[in-house]
Amino acid sequence: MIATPWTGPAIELQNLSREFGSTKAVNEVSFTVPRGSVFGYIGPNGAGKTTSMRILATLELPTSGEAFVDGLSSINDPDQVRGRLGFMPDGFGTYGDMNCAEYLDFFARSYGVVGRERTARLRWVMGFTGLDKLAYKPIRGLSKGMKQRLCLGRALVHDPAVLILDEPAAGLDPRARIELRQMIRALAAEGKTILISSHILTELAEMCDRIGIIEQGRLLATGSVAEIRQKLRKTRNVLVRVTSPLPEAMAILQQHASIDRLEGDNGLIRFHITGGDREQTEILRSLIEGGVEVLQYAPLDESLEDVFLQITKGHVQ
Amino acid sequence: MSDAVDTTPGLEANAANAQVAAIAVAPHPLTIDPAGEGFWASIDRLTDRASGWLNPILIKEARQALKSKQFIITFFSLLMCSWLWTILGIVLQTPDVYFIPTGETMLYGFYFVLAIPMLGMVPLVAHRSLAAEIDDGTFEMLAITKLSSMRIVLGKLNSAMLQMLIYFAAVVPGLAFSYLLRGVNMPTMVMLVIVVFFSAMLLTTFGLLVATLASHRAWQALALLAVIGVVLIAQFICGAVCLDGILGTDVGSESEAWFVLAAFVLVGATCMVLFIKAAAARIAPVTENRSTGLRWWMFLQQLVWIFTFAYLTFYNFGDPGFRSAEPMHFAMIVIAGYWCLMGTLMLAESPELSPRVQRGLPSTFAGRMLKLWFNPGPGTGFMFATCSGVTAMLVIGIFLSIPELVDFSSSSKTASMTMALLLSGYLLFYLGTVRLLVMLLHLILRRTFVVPIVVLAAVLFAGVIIPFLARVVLAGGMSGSHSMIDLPNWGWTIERAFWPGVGWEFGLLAFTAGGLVFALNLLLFFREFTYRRIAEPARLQAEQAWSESDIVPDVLTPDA
Repeated sequence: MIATPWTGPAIELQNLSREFGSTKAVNEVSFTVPRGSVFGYIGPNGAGKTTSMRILATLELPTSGEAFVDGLSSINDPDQVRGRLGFMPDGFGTYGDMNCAEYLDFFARSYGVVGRERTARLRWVMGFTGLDKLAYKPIRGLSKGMKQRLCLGRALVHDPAVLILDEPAAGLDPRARIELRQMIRALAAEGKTILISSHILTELAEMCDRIGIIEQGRLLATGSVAEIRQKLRKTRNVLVRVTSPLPEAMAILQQHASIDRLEGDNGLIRFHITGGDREQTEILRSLIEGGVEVLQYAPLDESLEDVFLQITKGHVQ
Repeated sequence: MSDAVDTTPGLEANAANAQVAAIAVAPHPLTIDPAGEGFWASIDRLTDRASGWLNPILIKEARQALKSKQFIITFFSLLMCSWLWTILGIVLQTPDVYFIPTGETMLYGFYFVLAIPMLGMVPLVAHRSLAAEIDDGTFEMLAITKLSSMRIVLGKLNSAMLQMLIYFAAVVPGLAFSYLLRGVNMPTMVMLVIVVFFSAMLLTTFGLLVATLASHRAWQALALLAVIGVVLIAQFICGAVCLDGILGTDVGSESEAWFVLAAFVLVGATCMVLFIKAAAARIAPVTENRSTGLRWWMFLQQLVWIFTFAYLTFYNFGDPGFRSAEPMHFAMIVIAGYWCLMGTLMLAESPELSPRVQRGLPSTFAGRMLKLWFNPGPGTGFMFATCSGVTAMLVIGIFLSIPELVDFSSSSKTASMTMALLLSGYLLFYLGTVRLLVMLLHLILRRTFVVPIVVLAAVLFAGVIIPFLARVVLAGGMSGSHSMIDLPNWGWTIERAFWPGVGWEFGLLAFTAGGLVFALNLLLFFREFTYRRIAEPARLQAEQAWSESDIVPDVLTPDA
């Protein structure tokens, strides 16, 4: 597909809201995804991820706000958006009596891919997703992982610039998950813009340039994992290794009001500091001044899961 | 595939495994460009190129049908029935078959062999095919492709037509055999086939429309029941028309029969297009203008109604002594009923126009003047229905009242102008009342086409029952004589208008009451009147410019 040289964000949500009766599934959500980047959309079940993705994919209308793909409105110009978007929903229906090649061929035709371009795209998609060995197999005989590959293939068959993947790894075994992750990385390397939601946060952290955390329809944070960690971090997880007796060090640490969840065992002390760099240096100084021999004093890196747990409250609506 | 390779034992199985493995690694034909030299290779390339122009749904459905048990069972059952009837028919008519024409009797049997799958299976399969797409969630995957909603519906219709052709092909030898036995002429046979084909297509489009009406599984079951009911009724009607009306009287050589068939095809074709357009509108994105195209078609359909009835009225069917205005009076009833139903359905439209719809509104003052009623919305819909219906009926009434223009030797019991005023009054009164009630109900209920339909049914029922109750209260009992108090009872009054006739005061009073309700509707604010055309976003203009030329427009930046 020939894409226009649009230089703006590939995906943009502007104050997007969607209400179902009294429930606000999506509440004033705004973010942008630059061209060629991978954006991870994370949040607990019922947070509003799927609804906002479906609005972007032109399948649902918002109550208010706007959603753009390549600068074109998903709401008012869905026919323009559909050609440049590949959507892989969480749950999807397939035609069980068709085989994989026929299924992909049908969708290629439906996206207007004809002639030699169609056969070339089919070859590429089947090779990329590893479905070339299962081309003759009826869809109803495919495993969950293979169906996911087929759905990814369907989303890619017209060579879209933007991909929206809603829980693509849900229900897959570890091998299938790793393979899917490799495929997404390969697509990102090709310059596709990808919006992906997943519950497997470690995987998202590895493959996403930026993430957005959503809960109860509200977007709580956006940015890279490091940025969010930096911006929203209220506590720091610190590890101290001491050679002097543990009770002495523990006694000094207990005097600090900024310290929380103090644990010590076998020469290792872990605690949380409420505050920033100043509090962290003050604690180190007090330990040294108190005569404690400090072998190691380091803040522990928080994983995406830690950040997620800190930011979200686990509320469902 | 690999499982089969691993588990099949024995030497023979090994050979089979090798074959399966060869298929497994061989690239699928759909992934290979048609190549090679020679005639067949060029045919292959040509068909491959041509298939790019075909509706993808047709290709998909054809592939699915060729694998489906339902299609294979139906097709072979059809063949079997066709052969069995050929043998049985000859056996039953022996020895007559050797001496006298028996083709007509044979054709009776072949009609059933053809009509049951064509009028029964095909519409139901088409209905289920679209309903299952919505139910199974595959429709959403279709909806996000570049296929327009119209192409999706047409694809389903095309595949139904393909099935019809295949079934017909299975019965053609039987039809040819009947012709060879004599006793039936070719035009009659052609007429029979046209009626069956056309009825099947009409039923199929109806089935497709009904499939789009219900998204919930419970409603879908109800919709399926409705389609089955209509299919059964159609089987009876079509059977009566074909067996008794066409075959029984061998009308193929009579020009009148062809005129009636042409009228049926004309009216049926407009209904078919309306069903297709309505089905496409139902599954189109909500922000699209789903109403204007339908309104233009309704307008055209009204002209077809009038033309057809006028044609049948003024064509004397070989009896120059008989002419009556009653067919045109019946046409007025059809027009009033048609606009009452269509106007009610348009009341379910949203008064909010999406920016996309606003982009397509007329830009000039003249355009707004002439096309305002074609804009989506319940207010414009009400005006469109009432204006179209009342104008048509009054024009017909005036036309029929000018003796210099028409001369009916057998005049009707009610004056044409009175009939026009009476029916116009009913349309204005009942549709206006429905609109007022629907406006109130939409304050608390979600917009859906069910609400106006239910309100219409309730209002029409109230119109019939209230005069009866009034009689019971005022006169202490019911009476068989029709009077002014029974005017709201539209059914009885229209019946009396045909026999023994009603006076001009009925028409005038009905029109006055209707006019008052119409005026009350006009007083209410029509929100959709205030909408004006808006410009297309710069990004969209740039996109269109880009697709039309090789020049990169300047505006392809977010700032622009």
